[in-house]
Amino acid sequence: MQLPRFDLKRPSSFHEAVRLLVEYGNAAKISAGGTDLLPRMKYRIAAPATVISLKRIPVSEPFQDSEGNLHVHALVRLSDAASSNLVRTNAPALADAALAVGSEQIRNMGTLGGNVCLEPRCHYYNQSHAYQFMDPCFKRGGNLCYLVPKGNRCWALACSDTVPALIGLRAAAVVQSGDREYTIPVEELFTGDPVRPLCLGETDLITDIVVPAARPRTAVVFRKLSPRGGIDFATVNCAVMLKLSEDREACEDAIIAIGAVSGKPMRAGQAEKNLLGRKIAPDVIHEAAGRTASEIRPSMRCDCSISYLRKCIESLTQAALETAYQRASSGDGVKPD
Amino acid sequence: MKRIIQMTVNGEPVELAIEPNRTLLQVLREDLELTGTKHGCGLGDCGACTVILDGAPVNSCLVLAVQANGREVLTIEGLEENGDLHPIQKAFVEKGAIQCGFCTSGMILSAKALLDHNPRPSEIDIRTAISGNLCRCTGYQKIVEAIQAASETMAGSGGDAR
Repeated sequence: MQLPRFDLKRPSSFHEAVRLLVEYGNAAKISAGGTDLLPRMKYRIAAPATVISLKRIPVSEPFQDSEGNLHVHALVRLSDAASSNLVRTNAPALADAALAVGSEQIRNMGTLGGNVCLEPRCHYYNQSHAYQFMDPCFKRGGNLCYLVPKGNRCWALACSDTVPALIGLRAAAVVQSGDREYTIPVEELFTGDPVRPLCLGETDLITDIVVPAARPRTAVVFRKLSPRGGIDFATVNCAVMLKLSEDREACEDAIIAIGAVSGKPMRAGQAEKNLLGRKIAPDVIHEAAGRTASEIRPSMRCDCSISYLRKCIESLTQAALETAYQRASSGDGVKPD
Repeated sequence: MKRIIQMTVNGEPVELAIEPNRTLLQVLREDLELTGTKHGCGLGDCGACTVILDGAPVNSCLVLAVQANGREVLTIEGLEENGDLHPIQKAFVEKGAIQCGFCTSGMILSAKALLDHNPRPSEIDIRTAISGNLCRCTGYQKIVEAIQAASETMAGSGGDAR
């Protein structure tokens, strides 16, 4: 498949990239690894006149600041994030999530920031539109949905693997906006509208991901379910954070984040609340997984039914909670204060 | 507007003037006539176009050729030495890991990247390393056996120099 013609800009800093975004506006698209943008350009669902490639921007290694927070550059390749010792020790869920993305070839090109900003996907939208002359769907600027009968909005799914893990880790994104920088929790980056998925301004760029220092008696676990072990986007993915009380029996803090079932990653707020203060036991974990499955409302899709998705969410959450409890209670992978 | 790029392909320096919308795969196949790298899906799913870029396997259909400027590319044509097949290529032939052959070049390069970093991989390591390469003929078993055999040969002979 041939790429359409475009002009390529290769800034050497985020400042310059933001300046180019201001100059070219909507006619430009950002490419970090290119593994998400180039297939869409080949499908003719993205046809930017200018592509701003971030490959020339120097990438710093992940590092820890004096307070123990882990800083990961947004342009770190997913394979490097997955194999970094610092990431493996301080945020194993992020390393697992980075390792779960695509194939080795994709991870060697794709970046962490790119995966956070992954364009929501749907079985209709993500196909070649080169010789299609039907009215465009919501995501292509029209007001129709070809996937869901009588669908009155876009039903594309936010399939990023790293985002639920970052939500579980309570990570924040550092954003370059013009000459200023601001920090926003990763969870608040998403609008829930697949047509315009990110809350960022048109000329904002994520430059860093900051993962807070690991807390004692706390574990974050990532799990992914997909049709095949490799390559595929997730059918469902899930990240769970569990913090235990000092006697390592009761739950002090919990996050259950479910991805790939909706226009943005979802939190199971009631299931989390229900866990607080309770002594963790198999029946409590089972109950929390069940609550999560009934609380999360998966979007309609054509590859599996809603009831199947709910079962997937339940079993995935249960497995993640069990592992998180084991790790948090044994102190495995948890750094002391 | 065309841009001048310089890269090293299979150890040979190459200089080309290319449009920014051309992929590394197109340049390898059409300009350099290295047609051992196959054009499969063109979307990064099948892995038929796998090449080794600066030591890491990538889908050349998703790499803009201008981004290979100043970098080192290894394709299937660069594996043989003095007319002798690479041990991985030999193992693929001997173990019957090739049927239609369309996935083979990508599969061998993924295997080479694995064995360069991990000379004694487990079966899980091998299956993970080739998970980005689709094969519709062999059912993967003979490919895994061939990579295991190659790892033993290469470890026995002190590893591949390149």
